[in-house]
Amino acid sequence: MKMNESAPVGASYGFASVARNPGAPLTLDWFEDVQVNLSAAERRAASLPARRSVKKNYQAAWLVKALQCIDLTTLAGDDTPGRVHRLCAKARRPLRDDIVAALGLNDIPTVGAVCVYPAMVAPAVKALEGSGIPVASVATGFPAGLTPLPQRLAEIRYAVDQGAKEIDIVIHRAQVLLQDWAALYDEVAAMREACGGAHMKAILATGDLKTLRNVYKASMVAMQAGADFIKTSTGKEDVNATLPVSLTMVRALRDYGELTGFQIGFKPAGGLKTAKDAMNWMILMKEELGRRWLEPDLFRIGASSMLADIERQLEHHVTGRYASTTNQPLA
Amino acid sequence: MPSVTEILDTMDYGPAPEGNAHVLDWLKAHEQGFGHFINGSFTRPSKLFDVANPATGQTIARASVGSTADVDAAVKAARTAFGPWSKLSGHERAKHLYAIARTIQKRERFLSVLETMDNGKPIRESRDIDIPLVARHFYHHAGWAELIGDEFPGYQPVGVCG
Repeated sequence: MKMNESAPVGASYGFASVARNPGAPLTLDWFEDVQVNLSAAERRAASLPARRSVKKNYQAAWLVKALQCIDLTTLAGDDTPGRVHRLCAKARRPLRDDIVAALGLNDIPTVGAVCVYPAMVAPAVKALEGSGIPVASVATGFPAGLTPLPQRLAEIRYAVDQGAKEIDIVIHRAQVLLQDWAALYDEVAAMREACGGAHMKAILATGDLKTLRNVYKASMVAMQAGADFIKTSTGKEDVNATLPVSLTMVRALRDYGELTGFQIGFKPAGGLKTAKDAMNWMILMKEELGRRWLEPDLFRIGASSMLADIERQLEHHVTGRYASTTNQPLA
Repeated sequence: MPSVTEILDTMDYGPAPEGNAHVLDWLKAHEQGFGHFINGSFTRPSKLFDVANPATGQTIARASVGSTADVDAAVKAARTAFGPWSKLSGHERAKHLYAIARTIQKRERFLSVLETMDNGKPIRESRDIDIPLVARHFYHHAGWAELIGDEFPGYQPVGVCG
């Protein structure tokens, strides 16, 4: 699989499915001496939204694609099966029928996944039955990740057992801050093993990692340990997904692909609230990784309220008017 | 324009041309031609030549060929202004330069679009690089003017240069 190749115009987007990353032995010289130029990363990140302007039908299509890449999320202390049920109803039917028809779409698009805490996996699976939308569960002591390892692994097995098809694990940030790559690698590899057939997203909690160098290194170790996706944040850090951090991660992802031939997915999460945010991250993906990374098997957006803004923009596209926010309830 | 379904397949960016209606309106309002800005006002347009957009070949405006008399008038006006300008403090000069910078920034989009139509370079160069840099230059020199007393003590104004 060659990286950075955009599909020829008119090609069907039934792309070849992504071969699962088998991981690699911990290889320090793939990342140990990396340097990241902070100013250059910030400048590149700042130029991306400014350089590309996607309008009219193109913008509508991009927003539909963004919608299909959303991991519709609820991770609150007061989650109930009822709330999860309503969220799943929204996941199945995120756009009003008249908007879908006006866009000329044959079928109503659905979101990429629904993301919940382990105890809410069963209600989510039940509510999504027959829809084809997978349930993703956070695990491993989300968000801090500081419970004992046996309990963290048991949590993964529990979530998979309950029906989660995807697991978003959190790494132990101290291991990155102390540069203990062997320990990080071993833990993430154990988590991957516990996931079994479920796909694993490794949340790096980049807001805790402080430097872009750490972000690059942690990305590499997670991929070597077998992560299927690398994810920016839990959404609970002080700083969550930013474009410079995302740029660093996708460069690591690209480098891993060049070294191994395997494609890894990317998921920004936390702080993405508007349709414009979705567009900016999609521009990042297209510019840095190419067309293939604009599909839900390689790109997800961790968001909830963003869906309402996307709906609003799509309604504006078809009607020419902005509806009141009460017209786009999150279920 | 391709349909949403087609674009979901290709995920092309699509064309997103910069709007230039505001500049076209302004050019239409000046279709009798541009004179020269001398001594605080525009001269009457005369000896007009066509100004074309290099990207399209279309004439966008007509400007005047400067005459010897125009040049003499400009130099004379500059010499007249030289006296009062020389007496201005650094701070006063800074205010003038700063005001120009602010006005350029206020009209940045307009000027970028006009510059691209006149010069033919891509809008990205005009809008993101060249015109902001024009404003930046005036801010920079306004800064130096403010400090002229401290940074350039004993310097005297030379005269009108061309």
